[in-house]
Amino acid sequence: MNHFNRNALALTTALTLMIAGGFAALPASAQETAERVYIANEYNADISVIDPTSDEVIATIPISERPGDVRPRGMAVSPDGRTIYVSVSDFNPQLEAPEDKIVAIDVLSNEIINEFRAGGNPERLDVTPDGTQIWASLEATAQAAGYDIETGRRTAVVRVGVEAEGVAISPDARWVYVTAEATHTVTVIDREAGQAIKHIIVGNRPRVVEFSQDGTRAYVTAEIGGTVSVIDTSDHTVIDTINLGLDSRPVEIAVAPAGDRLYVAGGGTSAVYVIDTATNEVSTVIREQVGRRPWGITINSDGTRVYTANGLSDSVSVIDTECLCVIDNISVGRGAHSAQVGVAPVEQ
Amino acid sequence: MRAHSITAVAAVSLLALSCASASAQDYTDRPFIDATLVQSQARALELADLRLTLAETFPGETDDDFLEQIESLQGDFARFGGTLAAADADLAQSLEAALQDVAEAVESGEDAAEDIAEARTLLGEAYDVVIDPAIQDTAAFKGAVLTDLLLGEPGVAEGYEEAGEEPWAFSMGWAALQRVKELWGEVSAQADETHRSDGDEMIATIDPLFPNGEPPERFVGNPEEAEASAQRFVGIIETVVSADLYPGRDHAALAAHLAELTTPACEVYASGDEVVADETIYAVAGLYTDNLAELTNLFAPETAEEVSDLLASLVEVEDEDEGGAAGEGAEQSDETAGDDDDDAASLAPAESCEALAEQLRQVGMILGG
Repeated sequence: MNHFNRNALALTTALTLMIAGGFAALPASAQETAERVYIANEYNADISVIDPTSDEVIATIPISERPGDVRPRGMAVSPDGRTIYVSVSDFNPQLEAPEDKIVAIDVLSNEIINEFRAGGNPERLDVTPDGTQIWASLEATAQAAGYDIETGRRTAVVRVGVEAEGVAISPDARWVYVTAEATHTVTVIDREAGQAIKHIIVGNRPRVVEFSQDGTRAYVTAEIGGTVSVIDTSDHTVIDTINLGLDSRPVEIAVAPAGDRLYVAGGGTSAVYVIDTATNEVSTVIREQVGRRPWGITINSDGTRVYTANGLSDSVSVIDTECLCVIDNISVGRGAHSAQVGVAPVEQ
Repeated sequence: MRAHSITAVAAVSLLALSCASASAQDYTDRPFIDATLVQSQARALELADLRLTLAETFPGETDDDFLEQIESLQGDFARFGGTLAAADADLAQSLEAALQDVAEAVESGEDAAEDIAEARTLLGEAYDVVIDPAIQDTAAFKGAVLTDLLLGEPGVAEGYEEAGEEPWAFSMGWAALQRVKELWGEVSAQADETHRSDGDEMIATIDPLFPNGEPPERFVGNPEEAEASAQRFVGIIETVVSADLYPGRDHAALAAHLAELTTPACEVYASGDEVVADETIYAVAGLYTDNLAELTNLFAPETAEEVSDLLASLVEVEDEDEGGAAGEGAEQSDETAGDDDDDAASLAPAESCEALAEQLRQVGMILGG
């Protein structure tokens, strides 16, 4: 989930206005930041950290000393971009294991700074725009749960569809959308009330959901359906279904900061589908040099680079959004699963 | 909020779903929809063959779970025996007896080699009687069989996933994988180089997970490891055979199809030919359980319970409660469930069948049809 993109866009706009208004004399440290791309490697039980200026892996953060038994999957970034949250679980969805937890990584130091238990095989998660709460899907128990970030205390638990997976919190923090692979649904949760208000059927085996920056639309990928469902969030109804082809097997989706494009990782075709949000049609399919089985996808704050996590080639493909072409491939850990961008201040 | 109260709100949003099914037109064939009964029969014939492979591979084995796998030969026969008997009564009788002999020999720990060989020969003959060899030869048919072997239960993915708790399911998975290799060899002959190579790679990924049929003494690792590759493999197979191999892509249409399929079976029940009618209900139960049960349970738990009870009153079905009932909202008291069971069981088969068709139509409407 990419709250960072939304907030970074707002921050950039604010800075531009301040500079235009004669407020350019901000301390350098307040303006200079560096992005980092984080890749969750499911089978290596670690996180690769990429410096996007050099496209090199600059750190590898171990999540567990038991790769093959414990896996990191979905990630989310705090609104200020400085903390990456990772859902961690064991490989057996039927077991309540101590490894079921949410881990927080500090982007500046690339160290794990906090973790708290999230029983029930947490698969994906999102952070509220104010950065105080996490919601995670609990795959084993068909539930979504809310957690207070400061205390790690579980504040809400809601029944959703079977094999819960994708999680997204609306920009106004009012709704939590949770996908479920086995029931092919998105459950709409009233976050404050901690109650499900509706289940929406989408395409077969929905994986990931993302909101548009303005919160009026939610986009849901369906792996077996080969579709992206477009949901009108004013009444939580599917208003369009974008067909990517049955062989596309889409998983993660990234919304461009400008809101004009969606980038969808097509695991089945090793392609990235670019969707024009004005028409809800596929405008370009990027295939050449994309690594094999891209599942994860993320976009940087200015929308110039897209990064895919490729699970079969254990790599990250870097896409230039101007030419819509792959400009680099970077080796990461085994089973690259998800991708996320964090941001850290740079000391001057 | 209770699940059924959510249903009413959700129903409106389902109208927009019809466009989702358009994508299924990407492929030429829909074997699970257009030949539902045939694929169900093929599934049973294939499973019977896997069980014979198991009996052949582990002579003298008398573990209870192993015997359970072998005893299921009778259940496999029930899924095609009526059609076989209608076409060749002698063969049906001989095969049923041969399968029984295998089960008894294995259970007693005797040498079952001759019984297995006899049963396998008869099973091969039955395959050609029940399913036209011309159909067996089609890519779509083979693709559907491959899908069942890879993703069905028992099968490759499930066998590996269950290995920790049901070691002999692992062995069935191994046997299924050997058949997958054989069929993929036939299907991949028509694939382009990229897809052949992709499919071969999936087999190469799965193969080391099943070094042999011996059930693991202690299972370690990722139980879902075979499923990830199996799912991807089925995606490749879909493209190669140009067939939609996921019948649940359009839930409402599938429910309507199952209702339509059930209706004529009710007339067969009424005519007294229950064995033949059962075959259709087995086919309906298979697709419903795999594709619609959990979804129906989420939107309309009472209807899901009703369908489940009606199916169970007609044929022997697996208890799928564990998945569908996940979460507190789906729970139902034992007392209530028992009453429903009694209601369904008290009906004559033709009446149960008609009630089932009606409930499936209801499911179709609930899911947006």
